[in-house]
Amino acid sequence: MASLELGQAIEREEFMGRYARGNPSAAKFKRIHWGRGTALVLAAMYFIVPFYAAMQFSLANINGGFSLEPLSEIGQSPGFFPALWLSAQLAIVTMVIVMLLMVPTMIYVHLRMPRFRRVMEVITILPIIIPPIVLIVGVDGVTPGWLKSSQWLLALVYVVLAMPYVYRSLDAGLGALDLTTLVEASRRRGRSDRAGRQRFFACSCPTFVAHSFRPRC
Amino acid sequence: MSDLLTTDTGTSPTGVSGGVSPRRTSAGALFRKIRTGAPVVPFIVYVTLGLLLPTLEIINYAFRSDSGKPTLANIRTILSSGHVVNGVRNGGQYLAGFENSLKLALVTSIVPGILGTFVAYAIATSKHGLFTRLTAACSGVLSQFGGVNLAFMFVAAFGALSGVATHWLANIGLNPWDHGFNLYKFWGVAFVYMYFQIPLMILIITPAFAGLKESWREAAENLGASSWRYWRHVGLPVLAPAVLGSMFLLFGSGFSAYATAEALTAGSIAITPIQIGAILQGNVLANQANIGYALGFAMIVILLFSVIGYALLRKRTSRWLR
Repeated sequence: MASLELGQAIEREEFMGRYARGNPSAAKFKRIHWGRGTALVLAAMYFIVPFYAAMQFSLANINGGFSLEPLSEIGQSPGFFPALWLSAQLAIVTMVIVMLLMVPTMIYVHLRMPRFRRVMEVITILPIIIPPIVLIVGVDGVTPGWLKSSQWLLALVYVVLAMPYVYRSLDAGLGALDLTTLVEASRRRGRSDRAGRQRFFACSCPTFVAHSFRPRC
Repeated sequence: MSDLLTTDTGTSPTGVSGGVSPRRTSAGALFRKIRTGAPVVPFIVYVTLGLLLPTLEIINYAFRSDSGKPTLANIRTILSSGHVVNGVRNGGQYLAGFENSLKLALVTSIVPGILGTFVAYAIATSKHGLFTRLTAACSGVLSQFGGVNLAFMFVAAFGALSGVATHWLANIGLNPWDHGFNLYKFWGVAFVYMYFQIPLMILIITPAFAGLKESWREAAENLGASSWRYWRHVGLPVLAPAVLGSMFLLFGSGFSAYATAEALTAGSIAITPIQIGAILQGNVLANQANIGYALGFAMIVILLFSVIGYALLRKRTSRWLR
């Protein structure tokens, strides 16, 4: 027994010695490390330099010195706050519509119409196939005049453009969540259908949202 | 919504109870089918109005003359290479636009595709959790960058006279503008496009690294494979479909980008989206009212191919991701 173990130990040592001596990857690992560092530094520079340049342009006074004055001047330019407010409104309206439209539909499809998921996947990839500028040409052609003069048409089109991203993140969120189990659990606990439903949404929504909006890297 | 909590799909016993005539059964089945499908109706209606009708409108008008008659003239116009009259080329600008667009999309899918893969690998194998999360969040934001903001940032950094980075590079004798670089021409635009294409690549390719099992690398090393051989025989074959598929998606993104090129070059670069934009703003020649629709239709056809390529390769990718 002992000799066997000794033999194994010697073998192992020999193996490890060979590994350390003749292994070319010892040097290679170092090089890969260097390569990684260089790649990351170059990438970081490419992404940071334009930001820095834009900041320098925005935050310089006439003499070229650093100044926060331009920022305070933004507020004085006419039409800035109305434009900002309109942008915020459009963003909020888009978000509300897209969530009201997609979240119930997707939960329902996951639970009751699994075969419809393929259809939804194809439909929600279409806004990627159809470039925004082309979609606008089409929307321009079919929209009645009263809607075309309204600023809210923008939000309605934004909803379509946001669909691919919303679908994919919600789909990942739903996949990470065992909906069927949650539904059954809430049904067992709830006394009535209504109570069960409330419980279901109470326990699934936070998890769902957390899973959906987590960056997936 | 009322029966959201019944997870068993569709086969409630009411429809199959004995003594019902076949006719009523099928009516009941139809009713159940409608009831099951009802909650998706709002989504279907929205998509029909906001996506399907506009698309049909584009396809319809792409094949119509100004007077509304069916014709192939629009398609022929955008595909014609023009003819030379007295040494001056007439027409053909749309075909040139497609050529430029395709070239731009190819360059801005292949180069950022490769660079993005390297950066994504460097990030994915990093041991710092905070760093990984931070870059992931940054990629998400930067991949949606574009338009006037992005154009301004690059003019500030790489502008000919007052660009910050131009100054730095000029100080070490490498002024890019002296070496044939022009921010407002093809390669300049491609350079700017990388700003959102690389993060997009990082975002799409990172999940694929999860398919590269750590145990495969260990197995290869135990069998005496060098790092190069591991990548040659294991890493690359597994990653290749994912990388290629992501490049198809980048191609689509580069092909249809409009706002950045428009803001950067003030519409002077001849690519298809800018030509469509010009038509939208009312720059239409006589007898060519529907050229915009035809251009849109052609773009949809090209992007359709790229998305099909993406979908096919994605299927192959998912084999390793189980």
